[in-house]
Amino acid sequence: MARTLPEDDQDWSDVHRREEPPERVTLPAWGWLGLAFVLAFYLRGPLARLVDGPALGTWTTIFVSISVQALPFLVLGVVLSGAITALVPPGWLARTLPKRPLVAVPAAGLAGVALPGCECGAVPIAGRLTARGAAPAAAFAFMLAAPAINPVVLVSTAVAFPGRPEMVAARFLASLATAVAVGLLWTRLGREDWIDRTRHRTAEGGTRWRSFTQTAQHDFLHAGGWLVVGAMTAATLQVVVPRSVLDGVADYPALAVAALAGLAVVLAVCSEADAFVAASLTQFSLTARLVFMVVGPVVDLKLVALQTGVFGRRFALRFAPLTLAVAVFFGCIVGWWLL
Amino acid sequence: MSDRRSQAAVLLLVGAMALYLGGSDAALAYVKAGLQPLLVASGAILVGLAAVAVLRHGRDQDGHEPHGPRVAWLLALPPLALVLIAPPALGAFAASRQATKPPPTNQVSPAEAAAASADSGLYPPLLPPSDGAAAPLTLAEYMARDDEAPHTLAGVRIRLVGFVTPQQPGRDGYLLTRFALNCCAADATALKVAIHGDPLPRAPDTWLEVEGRWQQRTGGDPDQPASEAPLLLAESIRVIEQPSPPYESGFPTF
Repeated sequence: MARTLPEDDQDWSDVHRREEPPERVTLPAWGWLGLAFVLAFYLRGPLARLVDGPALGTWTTIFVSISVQALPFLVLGVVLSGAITALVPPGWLARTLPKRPLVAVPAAGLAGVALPGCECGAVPIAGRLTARGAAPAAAFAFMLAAPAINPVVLVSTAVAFPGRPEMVAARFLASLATAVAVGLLWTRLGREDWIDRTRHRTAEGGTRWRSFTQTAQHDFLHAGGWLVVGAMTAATLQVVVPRSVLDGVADYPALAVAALAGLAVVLAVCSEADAFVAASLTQFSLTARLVFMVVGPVVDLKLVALQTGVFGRRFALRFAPLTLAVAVFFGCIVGWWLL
Repeated sequence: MSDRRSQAAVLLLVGAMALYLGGSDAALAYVKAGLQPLLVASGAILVGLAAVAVLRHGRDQDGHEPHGPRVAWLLALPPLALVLIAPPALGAFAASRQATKPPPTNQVSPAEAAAASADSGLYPPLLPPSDGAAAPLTLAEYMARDDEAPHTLAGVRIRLVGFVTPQQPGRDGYLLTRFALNCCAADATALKVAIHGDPLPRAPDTWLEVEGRWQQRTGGDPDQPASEAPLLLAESIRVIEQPSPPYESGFPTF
């Protein structure tokens, strides 16, 4: 889209511009955007009737609500990632963090307790941590653990399952185990060239304020665009696949676990709310619902899209299946042990 | 997205959307009211970032232009959808795609429920606000009482609010429906109560205030399959505007 349009670096009144061939499109990209909005505003009547079908209306509602719900958490994430770039000197993390993965990865996972938010914020932060020299495995453990084991999520889990404190303990253990195991597996299986480092390049140097604003802006545009991709995918699947297909499989333990793992991926619910969704799925066993709460914060459609934006497609295509398998495994093990 | 002004335009657009939704009841069709302060804060941050980008574009012309990704243009879609379509709160279409009777949200075991309702702690007796008036209940509470303490519903005139979802073929009446939101509309659960005794046909998505009395779900006829949804025998029905917020809260404490 932007590629076909001229770079709008010059001033409009630039004399040289008048000498250009007249057929060249001179409206810059942001101008098209404004034009689209003016047109949209005047055409809203006919367009609204065009999309009056209930399926399309439902799709739009779910799409907008996932985007809006995730927005504040994404902004929190990019503000923190801007702060990391502005305040943490390059190389400092690599010197300070423990070198041995067996120490660094669990420590990074536990550090996730300190980030109260949901999964959208953790992805750009992990991207910045690796760009600042943290070992990728440790950054991934932090990224996977933070949205699942922070106090806000644990409290909402306790509220959603009153009288069942073992559910909170099971969620904490299974999520932390998943994060640490994926981190350690990544040190064994992962390859450095799967991560697209070019996406983290922003202007170095300049004042702290400058690197803060540029990083925050850069990360928001990157991750935000992919968040919208994820919200569109999740909305499509929610409209196409009715939730009532779940009801038939609740009585078969293995199918129930698979169905709720799939639901967690498709629903793309924020980790602070997924406990309430899990609590309402009472036709399913507690273990299946635990798997739902362990998978949701680490793999879902909007998260895979965000990871594609921050780490590149080659990474996301390998990381998501690995994480899903490990999360289902630990959900089942801990559920069998504790519930 | 090659130039800084385009990036600033997208940031401004998303920021403006967040500020608007943070201060408008329109947001309640998508998220809960508790998110609105956070929306205002994030909107202010995004507008600030846009302002910085514009000022910087004016100030330095050293040829250094950070290139934004093209996927960032998609960020214009949610605001565009809001302006264009203003998507409505979830209605009968979405409700008809969920099971008729979602399980009650309460996680109390039957024994605990019996003990609790015995001392009336969990489900206190329903007291109408004044003589002859109906006791207002949320659909969630009506369903939970129907499940766990039906005797507290018997004989009381009850008022419920919801929209019309057509019944499955072969069943009487329609389903009075309201979605319960835990976080955002993506996780909405449809709560449904079957209404019997309405003489008029009702169009889907019509909002109604129904007053009536609780009925045993199984009914008297052994040949009729038991209703999946709790029943209310309507005595008076009033068409109302969509309430704000259009959803019930997914959990009483939130």
